[in-house]
Amino acid sequence: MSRSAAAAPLQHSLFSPQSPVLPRPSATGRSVLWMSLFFPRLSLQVLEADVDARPWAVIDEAHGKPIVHAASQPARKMGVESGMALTAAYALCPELEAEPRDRSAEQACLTDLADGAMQYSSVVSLEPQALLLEVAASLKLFGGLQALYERVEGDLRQQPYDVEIAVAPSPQAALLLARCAMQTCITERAALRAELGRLPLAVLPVSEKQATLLGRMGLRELRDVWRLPRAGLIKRLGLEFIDYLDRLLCDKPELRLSHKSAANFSASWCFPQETENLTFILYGIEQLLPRLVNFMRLRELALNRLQVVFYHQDKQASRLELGTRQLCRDETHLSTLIRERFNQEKLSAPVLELVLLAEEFHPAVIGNQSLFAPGEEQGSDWQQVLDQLQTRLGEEAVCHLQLRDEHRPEYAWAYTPVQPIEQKSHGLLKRRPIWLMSQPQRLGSGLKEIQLTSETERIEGGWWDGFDIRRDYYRARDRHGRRLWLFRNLQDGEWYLQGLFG
Amino acid sequence: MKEPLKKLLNNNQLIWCGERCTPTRRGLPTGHAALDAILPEAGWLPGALIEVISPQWGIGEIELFLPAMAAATQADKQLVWIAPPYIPYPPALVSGGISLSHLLVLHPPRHQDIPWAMETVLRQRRCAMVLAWPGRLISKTVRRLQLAAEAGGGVGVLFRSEHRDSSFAATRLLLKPGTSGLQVTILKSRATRGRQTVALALH
Repeated sequence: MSRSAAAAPLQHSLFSPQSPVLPRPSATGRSVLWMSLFFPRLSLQVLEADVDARPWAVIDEAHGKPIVHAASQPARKMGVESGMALTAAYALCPELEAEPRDRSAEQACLTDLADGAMQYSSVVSLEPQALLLEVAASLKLFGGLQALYERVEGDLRQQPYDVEIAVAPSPQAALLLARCAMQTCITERAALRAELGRLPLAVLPVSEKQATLLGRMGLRELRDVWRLPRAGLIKRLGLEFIDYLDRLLCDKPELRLSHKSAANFSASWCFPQETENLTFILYGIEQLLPRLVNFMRLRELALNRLQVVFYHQDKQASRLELGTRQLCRDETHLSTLIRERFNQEKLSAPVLELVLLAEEFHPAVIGNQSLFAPGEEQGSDWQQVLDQLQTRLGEEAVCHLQLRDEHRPEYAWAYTPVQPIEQKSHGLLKRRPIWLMSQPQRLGSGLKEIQLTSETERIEGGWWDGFDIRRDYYRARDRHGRRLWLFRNLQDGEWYLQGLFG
Repeated sequence: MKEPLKKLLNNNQLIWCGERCTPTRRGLPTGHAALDAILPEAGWLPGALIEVISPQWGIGEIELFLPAMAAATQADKQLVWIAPPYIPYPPALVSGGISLSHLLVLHPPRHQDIPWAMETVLRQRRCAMVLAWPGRLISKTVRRLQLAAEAGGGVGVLFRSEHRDSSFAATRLLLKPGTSGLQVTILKSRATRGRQTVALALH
C-alpha cells in the first residue's frame, strides 16, 4: 500500500465523519475566505521608527521573569531570540538595550490598522499582533483575490510596519500561515490539509506540556497529526486541541467578532514645546485633518460640527468650535474654515497640545457626480462660501428671508438660517414697502411736512394672540422726497412710520 | 477709423475706448427702457461695480435694481444684500419677482467685514448681484471690489451717501427724488457721453 493511499481514507475516517457538516464550497469557491495580516515586529516598531539601528529588545514578563519578546536584527545576529530569558540574552549580547513592552501602544496601533482595513472588508477581527479580514465578500468589488491582495499589500507597504499576509478558508489557518511567514493563498478547503501538513508542529499555539507530549510521540509536522486516530488525540491532548484542529481545517465553523470602529473621532497633536505661532498650530491641525476625513470616508459619514481643543501649560483648556451649514467631509474646505477662524480669534495662551474632536456625525449624502451639468458643483461651491461667511461673520450674520402667512405687517416675515423653499406671491399682496423699520417710529411734529399720496388701507386684528392692532395705513412723501409707509394707530391716535419704499 | 483697427479695439476689453462704436457686451437689462437707452451697454454692465450715490434711502433706490434682480433669481442666480440699512421686507420682494430662496442677507457684526464679505461673494460665479451698504470705504477697497466683480462676472452695487469726485467703480449713478419717481444721473460710465440724466417713473 502506498503512503498516500493509506493516508487518504484515514484522514476521512478521523475528522470528517464526526465533525459537523458544513456547506461545501461551491464550484466558484464562494464560501468564506480569511485574509490574515500579521505584524511580526509590531512591538518593536511602535516604540521606534528605525528598529535595526542598534541591538535592542522588547521585554515582556513571563512567570515573573523578564523574557525577550522581540529583538532587533543586530541583536538577533548575536543570537538573541524571542522567548529567551533576559539574563540569557545579556550573556549573548552584553550591549543589548531592553525596553519594556508597550501593550497599549500596540493595541492602539492595531486598532488604527483595523480602522484602515475596514475599507477592504466589513468583517475585521483583531488578534494579538494580527488582523483577520473576511474577504470572500469583497472579491467582486476589488476584482478578484489577486487584485485585492496586491492592493492590501501596496497600502500596507506605506505603513511603517512589517507585515506578512496569508489567505485561507479558515481564520486559524490564515493566522497560522501568516505567523509562519508563508505568503500563501489557499482558496479551496480541500487544499488546506496538504498545505498545512508541511508546517512544523512547533508553530501550533499549544501549551508547553502539549508541545513536549507531541515531541515525545515522535510527531514533527502537522501531517503526522492528521494520521492519528481522533479518539486517541482527544484522550492525550484534550478536547481543546482537537477543537482547534477542526477550526483550523474548516471542519468546524468559527464565529468571529468584528471590530467595531469608534463612534467619535479624537486625535491629538503634541508640540515639542509651547507655541503661539499660528504656522505651527495650523500645521498640527493639518496633520490631523486627513485622519478625520479618512475616518469619515471609511464610515460613509460627514459632519457639521467640529472642535479643536487647546491644552495650555497652566491655564484651562480652551476650545474653538466650528460649524458648517451643510454636512461636509472635504479636507481643504475644513482647513479653509479653520484658518478663517484663526484669523478672527486670538489664542488665550501658548499651546502645548491640541486635540481635534468630532462627536456628531451624520450619514453622508454623496450624490452622483453629474456628467453634463456642471451646475451641481457650483452649488457645492456656493455652500462652501456660505460656510466661510458664517465662520467669519458668525452664525446669526448669515440669513435668508422668509415670507409668513400673516396680515399684520411686522409678522409677515422672518429671518431664517436655512435656505427657504420657493415661495410664490399670493397674488393678493397689496403694495408694500421694500424697507421695513425694525420698530414703527412715532412721528411727532414731523407730520406737518408729510403729504399723503394714497387711500386708506385698514389693517386690524390679532386679538387671538394678544398683539391686537387697529391701524390705517397710508403711502406718503416727505419733503426730502422719501416715500414713506405710515399708519395712524386707531388705538392711541398717533402716527407712526413703518417702512420706506426703497 | 480703419476696419481692422476698429475690430481690434472693440474686441479688447483692456483698451479703454472713450466711446465704442457698438457696445461689445450686452449688459443685464435694467428693466427701465429709458435707462437702458442711455447706458452704454444697454443695461447694467456685468462683472463691474456700480456706485450709487443717494442722499437718503427710501427714494426708490432698490426699485431701480428690482427688475434686474428678479431676472437674476429667475435664472437661478444668487443675490446677496450686505448690511442693509433697514429690514428688506419679503412681501415687497416677492411681489417684485424675487425668489427668496435665492436671496442671502448678511449682517456683518463689524464694519470692516463688509468689504471682505462683498469681495468673497462677488468672486462667485453663482452670484449675479451683490448690494452693499458699506458706509465709509477707502478707494483701494473699491478697486479690490471692482477686481472681484470682474473675476466673478456679477454686478456689485455700492450704496453710498457721500459724494466723492473719483472712484474705481465702472459706473457711478447719482440718485435724486423726482416729482413722480426717481431721477438718475450717470456720473461715470465706460463711455463718455457727458452727464446724462433720466427721470424714471416708479409706481
